[in-house]
Amino acid sequence: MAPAIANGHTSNNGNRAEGGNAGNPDRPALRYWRNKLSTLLVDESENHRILGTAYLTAYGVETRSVSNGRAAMELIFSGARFSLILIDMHMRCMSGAQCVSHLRTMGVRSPILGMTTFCREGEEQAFLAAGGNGFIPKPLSPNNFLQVLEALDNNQG
Amino acid sequence: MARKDLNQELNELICSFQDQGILDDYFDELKGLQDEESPQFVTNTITTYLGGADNTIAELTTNLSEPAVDYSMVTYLADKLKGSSLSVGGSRMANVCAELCDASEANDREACLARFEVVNREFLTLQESLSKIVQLEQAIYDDKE
Repeated sequence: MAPAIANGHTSNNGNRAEGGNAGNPDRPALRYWRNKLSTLLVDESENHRILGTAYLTAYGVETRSVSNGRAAMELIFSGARFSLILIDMHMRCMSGAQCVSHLRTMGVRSPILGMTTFCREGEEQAFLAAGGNGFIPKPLSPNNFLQVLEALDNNQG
Repeated sequence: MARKDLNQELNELICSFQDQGILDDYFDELKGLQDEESPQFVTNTITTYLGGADNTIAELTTNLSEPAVDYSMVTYLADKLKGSSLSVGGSRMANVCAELCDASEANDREACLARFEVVNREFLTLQESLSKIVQLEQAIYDDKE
């Protein structure tokens, strides 16, 4: 299968695509923010990573994506910082709640939202108890992420 | 065929699939992300989905044929397939995956097998529909080159 390409650039695990981020940085954004916003997407689904990255980039958010919690931790450990972290609630090796717990232990203070199509009983509580801040439906769409970004931009002053 | 005709044919095809419930409005959002900077975004996204879905269905087939079904794995795989189907506007496919999730959470083998049969049928329909879209998208792309 040919490598997935979002907006003309390969989706690399945790890395900006060659020649720019996933989404052309020279293309006018659909939305401009007062602050520089950045997002880390943690999702096993390549489709979700491609779509989420394409959407967020189109709306002026510098976005990186990784396929699992361990890769997210490695990225944070390397010094990367993000305005917002979006984590798939249902990953195979490390759940969203477990990933949040690790990231908070590592000192991450950014808002962390769980991405999900549905939550089983107790999963929401576990995610919040681990340090998560809330949830956002999958698949990502301007209908659901724009208000999150607006709140984030306003809170950053 | 002229590009305008191909675009019209593609739009009519997508509308037809949406009228049949095979695709939902999210497909329009996905298509909206395609532009001159990323002219094959839809094709690549669909290709990625179909490849991933094929693998997930193969894993489900293996799991459901085991004498002792690992229901937590079946639930995980069905949930994964549901999510990725939603990302290409395949809400009807996502709904049948959700039903498989429910059957798996109930540890009901017979229900899982029945629901999985429906998943397979629905996937064939979605796969055929998305493949037609890819063919037209490719024809439009080739026409531009």
